[in-house]
Amino acid sequence: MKLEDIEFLGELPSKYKPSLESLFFFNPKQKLNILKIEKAIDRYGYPRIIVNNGNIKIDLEKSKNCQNLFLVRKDIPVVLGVIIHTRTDKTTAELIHFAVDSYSEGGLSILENMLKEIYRIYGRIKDIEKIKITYINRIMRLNHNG
Amino acid sequence: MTKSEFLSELHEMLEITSIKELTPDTVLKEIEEYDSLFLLTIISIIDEKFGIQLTADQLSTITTLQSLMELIGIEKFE
Repeated sequence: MKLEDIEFLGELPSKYKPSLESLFFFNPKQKLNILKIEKAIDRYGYPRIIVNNGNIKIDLEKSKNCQNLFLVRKDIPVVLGVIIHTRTDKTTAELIHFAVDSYSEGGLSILENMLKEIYRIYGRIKDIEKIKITYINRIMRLNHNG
Repeated sequence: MTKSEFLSELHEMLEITSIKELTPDTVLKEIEEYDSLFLLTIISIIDEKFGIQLTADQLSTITTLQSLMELIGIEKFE
């Protein structure tokens, strides 16, 4: 798989729903991090899939302004990664939830590509200095060259 | 900080229980706890302890903990 075989989307055509459910809601790796995920749920509410104009996205009960970043395959309806993120104050963005397909194909690292996109999104916002990761309650300073 | 102090701290901060201790030769992807959250934790630890912001591209160059320490700057370890 090459870079031209994938794309970033903010919401998904509904044909991706089974893959999204599988990656985000029924991911067997979640049990390894269940306490960390529960902290995010306590703070931002339960995630759920909502439909908007025929497209789907993930919404959080207590955070109506959260954004979605999906990395998907173009050729088949497979979601490779999802990050639910939001800006929490003037200088901070927060990665509230994320799920990444563990298997990178052809040397393509899904996490690296998603991080680059997150850096690109928030790198355009001058005031954003750091990105908080809710699951681990830790900060990554924003590397605008990253 | 010595290499062994760093590795010991990393072991604790990453909450690794599958192996008793980390060595410079430990291959990250072979650690049972290795996943995307594990990598993000490493990025934040390196930023917090050394003031180094690893880029997404640099992640792919890290194979062993020795390569991580080289990326940080081997001179930072006594």
